[in-house]
Amino acid sequence: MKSLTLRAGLALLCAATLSACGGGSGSLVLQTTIVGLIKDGLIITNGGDTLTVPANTTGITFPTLIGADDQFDIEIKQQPTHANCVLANNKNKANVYTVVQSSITCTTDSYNLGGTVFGLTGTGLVIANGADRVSVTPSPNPGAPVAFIFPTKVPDGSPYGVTVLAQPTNGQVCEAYNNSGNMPSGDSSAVGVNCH
Amino acid sequence: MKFSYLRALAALVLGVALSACGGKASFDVSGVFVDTLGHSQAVPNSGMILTDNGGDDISIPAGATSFTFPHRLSYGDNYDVEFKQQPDHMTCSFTNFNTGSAGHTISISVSITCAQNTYTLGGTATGLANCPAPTSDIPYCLTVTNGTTGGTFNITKPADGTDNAPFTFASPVRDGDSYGVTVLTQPANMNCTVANGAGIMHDANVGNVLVTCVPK
Repeated sequence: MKSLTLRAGLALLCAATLSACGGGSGSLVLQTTIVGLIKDGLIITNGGDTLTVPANTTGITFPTLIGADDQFDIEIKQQPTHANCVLANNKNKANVYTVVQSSITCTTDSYNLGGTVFGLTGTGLVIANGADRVSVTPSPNPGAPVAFIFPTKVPDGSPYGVTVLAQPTNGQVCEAYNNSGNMPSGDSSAVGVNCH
Repeated sequence: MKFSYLRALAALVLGVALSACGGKASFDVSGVFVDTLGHSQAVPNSGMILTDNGGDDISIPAGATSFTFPHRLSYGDNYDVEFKQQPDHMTCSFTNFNTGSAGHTISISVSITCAQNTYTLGGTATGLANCPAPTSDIPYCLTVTNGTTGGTFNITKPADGTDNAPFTFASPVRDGDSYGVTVLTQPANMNCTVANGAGIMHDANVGNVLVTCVPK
């Protein structure tokens, strides 16, 4: 009885496996999910397929169908500009599970954002890039220019906008200028804050 | 051979079950605080009060990673853990069963995850009647941003000729986070400035950011 059940089960499994194979005609669609790609320039390959992946793509499929148990090998031919992408689950034998499991995770290069405060004599000044804040204290020589850098780096090409979150407690009024734009491909100390 | 194994196993299971019952006449109603991935995480804010069966209350201090109610339950008693008060600036929820019967599982461990409250950020833009007519290249009049991570908002010229238009950033701001609205892209023919653009989000939506555009 037990062995009969086993045999029937095996036969069923065999049938299911064979039908999944589809006779090896190359019926599987190889795809990869993409996370964090905000820059152009990424080129990926698999076998003879070469795909250019534009910024903000979240998933892509390779045009050539592959057969069950065929080996696939997704590789990065060219990294995006000012970003670095890393592959996962990119090499395997093709089956219905493995062809949808590969992923590419990209991190955009980030740079320091900062600037200079002019004329500051009082304490308490806080400037912010949205949720990222930095406190600025006067120079030992009050009123002399003071440099500042935000604690969190800004990704290449991402927007920034610097505002005065808290004014100095001595009644000075500070105002930010040259304070909003898209991050260049390098550190920026272009933001100015005038206090008077 | 096979049957003797089975019998031995059954005896063992019975023994374990009996010793579990006999050794523990009452049950703690306890729980843990976790993040969204299920890892232990301390509650950052004070103010949370939990109640079991509507009468057994416990205050949760900031920094707590677990809790145990003062009253223990007997086998078969029901427990029903609820929030009597949420912690300051946060909303918490149960990530598994918060009700049940003592003894149904070996121990009672309720799982709670908390998230900082968030509020919307927005305001009004004025002077938009002078915006350039939208084109396929430049469909928007101006773009404002809330720093780097708070998102951007494209303000368009109202089609009906109205001078004002409201805007709200798509990303809400966490309670306690600062926000700072600036003009990221100016229209070609106007200067736009921001008033009430910086502050710290606290307990309510902000809708008073004022963007004023005047012709150059």
